[in-house]
Formats: sequence, C-alpha cells, structure tokens
Amino acid sequence: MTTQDLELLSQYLDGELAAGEVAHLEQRLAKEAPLAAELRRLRQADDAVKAFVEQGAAGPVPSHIAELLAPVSQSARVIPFPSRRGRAAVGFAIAASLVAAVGLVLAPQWQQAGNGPQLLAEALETTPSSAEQWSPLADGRALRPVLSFAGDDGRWCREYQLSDAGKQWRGVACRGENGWQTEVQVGEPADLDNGSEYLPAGAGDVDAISSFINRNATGIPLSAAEEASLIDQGWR
Amino acid sequence: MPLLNSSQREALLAELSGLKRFCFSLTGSQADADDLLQATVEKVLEKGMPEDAHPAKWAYRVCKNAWIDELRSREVRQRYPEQAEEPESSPSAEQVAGRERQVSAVGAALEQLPEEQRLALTLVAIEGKTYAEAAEILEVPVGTIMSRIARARRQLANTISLAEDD
Repeated sequence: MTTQDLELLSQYLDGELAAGEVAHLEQRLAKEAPLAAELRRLRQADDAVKAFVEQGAAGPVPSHIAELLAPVSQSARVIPFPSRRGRAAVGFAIAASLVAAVGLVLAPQWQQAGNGPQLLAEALETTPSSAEQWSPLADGRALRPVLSFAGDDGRWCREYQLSDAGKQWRGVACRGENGWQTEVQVGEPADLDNGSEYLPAGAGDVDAISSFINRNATGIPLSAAEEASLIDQGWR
Repeated sequence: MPLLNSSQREALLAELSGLKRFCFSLTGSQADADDLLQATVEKVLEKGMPEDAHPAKWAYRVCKNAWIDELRSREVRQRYPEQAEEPESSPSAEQVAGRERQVSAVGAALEQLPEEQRLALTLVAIEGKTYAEAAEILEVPVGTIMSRIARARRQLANTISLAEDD
C-alpha cells in the first residue's frame, strides 16, 4: 500500500474526493482486492473509534457547564434598574474579610421547580448572601450567594458558590434584560467547604473570579442591608 | 461586560455535545473530558471571541489549545483508564472479557497516536468536520490534515488488528 493510495482511501472515507476521483477510485476498488481490503480495514478502525468515543462520551453535558452558556429565559419579574454610573469607583477585592462583612443574613429556604439555569437565576433573585448558609435548589444542587455588587455597565452582579455531588464551583452572574446570567464560573477544590466558615477558593480560581470582578465592578460590595433592600424591591 | 453575545452563546451551547466527544477522544476519560470541556467554556467566556469568529471553530481551537496546555503540564499521564463498566450479571465472563479487550484495544490505539494525528482524526472522523474546517481549527494547511488523518487511520487499523489477533 503506497502512501498515495492510503491518503486516497482516507480522503474517500472522509468524503473529500471530487466526483471524478471517487468514480476512478471505485473502479480500482472493484478490480484491486488488496485496495478494497485496506479500505475495509480502515473503515472498521473508524467504526471502532466512533463506537468507543460515543460510548465514553455518552450522557448529557453536565448542567454546570451548560449553565455557563445558557441564557436565562425572560422573566416577568425582570425590571430594568437605573444606571449607577454616578457611583464612585473604589478599590475592590474579594478578600475573605471583606466578604464576611458583606452579609451574613441567613438565607430562607428556597424551593421552586424549573430547569437548571432558571433555578439558579431565580435563587439569585431572592437569596441573600451568606458566609455559611447553603440554599438547596430543586434539582439537588445547593447555592450560596457570596456577595453582590454593581457592575460598571449598570447591572447588578452576584458572586456565588454552587455545590453538586461533592463538587463545588464559584461564579459570578449579572442581572441583565434577560435576568441573571452567569458570566464566569470556575471549579473549586472538593474539600473547600468542610467547615462552616467562609474559605477563599484556590489561587487559580480566585484569580479568575477576582480578575472578572476587578474588571467589572464599580464599587465595594453591597452591605447586607443594601442587598436586602434590593431583593425586596426586585433589584430595582 | 458580557464578552459573548447571545448568538455566540447559543452557537456554543449547540456545540457542547460535539465538544464533549472531542474532549473525551483527547482525554480518554469522562472526568477529564468534563474538566477539559469546562476549562474550554471558561476560557471562551473569559477571553471572549471576535464578532466575526465562527463560534464552533473558535471553541474547538480553544479546546485544542487547552488540551495541549494540559499535556504540557503533565509529565506522566494515564489515558483511557475508564473503560466500559460491565454489570456484575453480564452474559458471560468470556463475552465480557472479549468486549473489554476490544474497548481497551481501541483506547490503547488512540492513546498511541501522536497528539496532532489524534486531534485531526477526531475532528474529521468523529466530529464530521471537513478537512478545511479541521485545518482552520488546528491552524495547519489542509494537506497536513489529510496526511495526518491517513497516517492515524493506518496506525489505528494496525494496532487494533494486532490486538484482535492476540
């Protein structure tokens, strides 16, 4: 088998040959048994690999990944809020001490049916930030909003933690015209939250989240009272 | 603030299943594939993409680069550790062993491919990309894609045949 014939057969399998080339090759395949045998062998290898990958990659895309991209469906409760451009920009960091000062209000139990992104969006709409309280979502995950802040484009944003089957993620969602939408989300070490105290994420994760917040936040995080007031008023 | 517009997000959502297969064929492990997929999506979200970029091609390229970064950071790696999990009440030990040998042989054959060949083969033979699309994603000439795939197929066929003969 020459390299040229091998490439010809490979292109044939991939549908990359022109019609004339296909006709010519098929004439040869009818007459040249070794060439036809090699084609069968290559095709069998293709089929085996496809079956292997289909089997290994079976199942849906994990919801926490799809959620990163899923637009949140329009909600009747979404109301545009006024621009906050007048707000003075000050230094912003997500040091644990600052987070702890934001809000330690206990979250009410939140339960509502719906799909994953919608569940997260609805929980972010009503659940106060907390340094220690997890709020269960209807799909089995648990949410802990960590802090809220104003984005430099006028949107409200919330940093949160999600927990699902022993795994944890940290993300930031912002409330736009279509509701809460995740802007960034990173995985956290599995043993991050063994205790009841707030712990910072690993260095890499903090980098991703903090760099997002540093790029986009206009001021310091909201106080617990400010956040509670916004929740009461539907983030207006 | 958002670095991806709605249509780009929708296009990427539609491509996630394909990206997941691509990730599995590169990593050989469901857990690693999910990690690579998440890293890919996070990188796309963090860095954004040009308005005129093709979202799917862009994402595959980001995924490829993320995987190469991952490989560079690993000195020792074990691929394809997760093979078919057979239930305890499978038809017969012999059948089970036969299937495991076959799956293991395919995984091993994939593992033995040079990385650039596996990338090209996966995009075309599994994901159905054209040579031109694969060339764009991998940033190499179309002729390079063609030769990499042909060599990959021959090596795969040889490795699998040898395993079946054993």
